[in-house]
Amino acid sequence: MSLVFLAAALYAGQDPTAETFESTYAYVVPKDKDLAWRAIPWKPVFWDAVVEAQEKDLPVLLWGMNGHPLACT
Amino acid sequence: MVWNDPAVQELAKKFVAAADEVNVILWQRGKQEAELFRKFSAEGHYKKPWQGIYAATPSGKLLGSTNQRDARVVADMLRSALEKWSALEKKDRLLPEAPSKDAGGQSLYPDGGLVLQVFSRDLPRKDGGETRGFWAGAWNEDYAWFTKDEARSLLPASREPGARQPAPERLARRLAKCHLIDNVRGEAYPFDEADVKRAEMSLVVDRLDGDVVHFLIEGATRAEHGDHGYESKLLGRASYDLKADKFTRFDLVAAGTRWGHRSRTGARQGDLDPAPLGIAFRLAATTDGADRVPPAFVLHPLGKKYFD
Repeated sequence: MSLVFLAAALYAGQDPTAETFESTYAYVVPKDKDLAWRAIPWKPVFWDAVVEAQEKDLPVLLWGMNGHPLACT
Repeated sequence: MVWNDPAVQELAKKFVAAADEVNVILWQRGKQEAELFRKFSAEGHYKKPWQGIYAATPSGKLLGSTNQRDARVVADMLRSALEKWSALEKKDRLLPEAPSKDAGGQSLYPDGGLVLQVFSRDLPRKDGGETRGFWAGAWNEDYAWFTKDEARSLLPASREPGARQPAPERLARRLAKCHLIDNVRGEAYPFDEADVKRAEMSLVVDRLDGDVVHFLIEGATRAEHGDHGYESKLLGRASYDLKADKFTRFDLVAAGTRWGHRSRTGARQGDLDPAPLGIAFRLAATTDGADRVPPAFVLHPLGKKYFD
């Protein structure tokens, strides 16, 4: 049974069940390739990067957004 | 996403990388941090401290910036920035004195508590509907926080199979208000306290394996604000290591119907009819880096009230 079919079955009025849980859960959670950006060692606080960059004599990269870029943009 | 590009990833690792919320940088932490961001962003793509990708020296010299999401554009900007960095003398690259390590502001991160990643995604619709368009495959993520005491309060006192522990109402309502929301297409507002019509979640003992108790998670929620709402059923599996005194699994999915919208971006306009929405939770893999990002509504608008 495909993930799409299982998820669609939920909308057809079927509550999530023990049988459909794993497939529905897997459908919602992003795949590893979608989360590859986590391979970059992001610091979630800009100032922490400035402090470390000063210590290690490295440039700073800032990805700044309205809403935290690493969650809920 | 531009950061999934292998070339961009390799270049990014030559910097100390930060991802942060621009309004938090400007208004919620220390003066020195805000001034540094204002200094180099004034020379950047918007000439203002707005969102984007910036390369800069710790001393505040701009090395490059863009707000484009094209991996080639970003890679070129990062290469150029590294060349500029190499051409600078050390005294120009760095601050004259080591900066304070205290970023300012207050971290509410629940050390030793239950930290969950939260993912939202539209579930397939009977007719395909909007999922075929621009937003096909769209998803978003956030974090959910529970203190250590709150995590313990989810556990049934008995380890006998079938023993049930309803989550304290306050915690179930936190899920319904702050996390069972439609942010698939971008930032959204939390539900208000009065919007929550139903918020139930229980852990039921499934079995005991040595020091590890395995649970089923069950529940149901409904919240509505004006013409917008979300009604869901919860189902999940969790494991708690009694010896380590912590959850080792917390896989939970909410599946149900969303209608209307309350997004900050307006991106749900034109897709207001009832449609299926799924929201999944899992344990954060680490206790550092991206996994310390606060829940969106801790940053704004709730702050400490998130835990109320």
